[in-house]
Amino acid sequence: MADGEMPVRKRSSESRSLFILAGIVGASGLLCYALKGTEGVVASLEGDLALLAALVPRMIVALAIAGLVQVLVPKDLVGRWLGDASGYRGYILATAAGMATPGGPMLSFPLVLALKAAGANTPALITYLTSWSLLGVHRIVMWEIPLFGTEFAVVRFLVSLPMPFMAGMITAALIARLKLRT
Amino acid sequence: MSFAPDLPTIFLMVLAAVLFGVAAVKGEGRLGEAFKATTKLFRMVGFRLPLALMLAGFLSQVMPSELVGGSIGAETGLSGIVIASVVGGLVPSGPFVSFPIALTLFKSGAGIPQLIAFVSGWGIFALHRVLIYEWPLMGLRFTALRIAASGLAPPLTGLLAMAILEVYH
Repeated sequence: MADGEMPVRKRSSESRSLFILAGIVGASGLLCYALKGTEGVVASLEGDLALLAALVPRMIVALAIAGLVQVLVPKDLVGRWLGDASGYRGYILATAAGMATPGGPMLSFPLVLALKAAGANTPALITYLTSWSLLGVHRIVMWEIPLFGTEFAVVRFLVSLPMPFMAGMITAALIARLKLRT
Repeated sequence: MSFAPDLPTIFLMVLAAVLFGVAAVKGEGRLGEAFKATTKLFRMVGFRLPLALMLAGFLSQVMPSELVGGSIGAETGLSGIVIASVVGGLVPSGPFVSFPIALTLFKSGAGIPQLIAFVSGWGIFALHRVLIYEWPLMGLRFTALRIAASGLAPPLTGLLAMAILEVYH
């Protein structure tokens, strides 16, 4: 009985998450119907199908990478650099990696999934994502400096620089405080 | 929209091919294990992704996107910063949409700290990215943790910028 407990609980939390999502989808669909009528709903679903068709091949590749990394990369290696024992070094490394990762969520989220599978801890992953979304160098060079100028970009970079560290530390504190399994 | 591989996708494909090769050469059942791990991830994402896409689609239909205007001028201070943080997070899709919107807001009188909060809000909250990628791939708990841990960042960047600009000018 004790053996069967864990998987059952895991499955129920996963399906609860799905039920919540399905409920929100239903509510937003009704709202869309109320505001935009049948046309709005149909247009929205058609858009979803097109997006799904574009996403599925990418997801297949991304999930294959996550699965392969899980098997190939030694857990203690990633764990040493980005795991529970990595401390400040882990935050600094995660921040630097986030700044350097080019492209959109299509690239960064599969990387996060693969790193998680390989033993990185949640605070380091959240530090990485916060850094990528606020400090991504490619975005600053391609969009921000041309549109807003260097002064704006420098001020924004400076005020954003502490945020990945803050997010990582808050995550670690929340996990410890709420005794979350991650 | 058909599937045309862009640079990141090509990069991912090459990476997958290389990893596949390494696993094949190393042998000892590694490919089989990797296949099992991937299938497990698939079952998880397969249910979440279509639902998340539907939600993103419905929301973009009902979102009032021309609402902001001069409500985030430099004189609005903290309240403008908070509004800009939230509105930034509602902007759908990538930098090719958010930065032009930010520029329009700038020209119609938005303040610098408010704009910085807007750009941070887009980065941190990015509703579309959360629905399409983060929730399906990382799960609800990770997503909630990340938003709880970095949710204060957008208004904080705005406030810090306000302080810096006050000292600097």
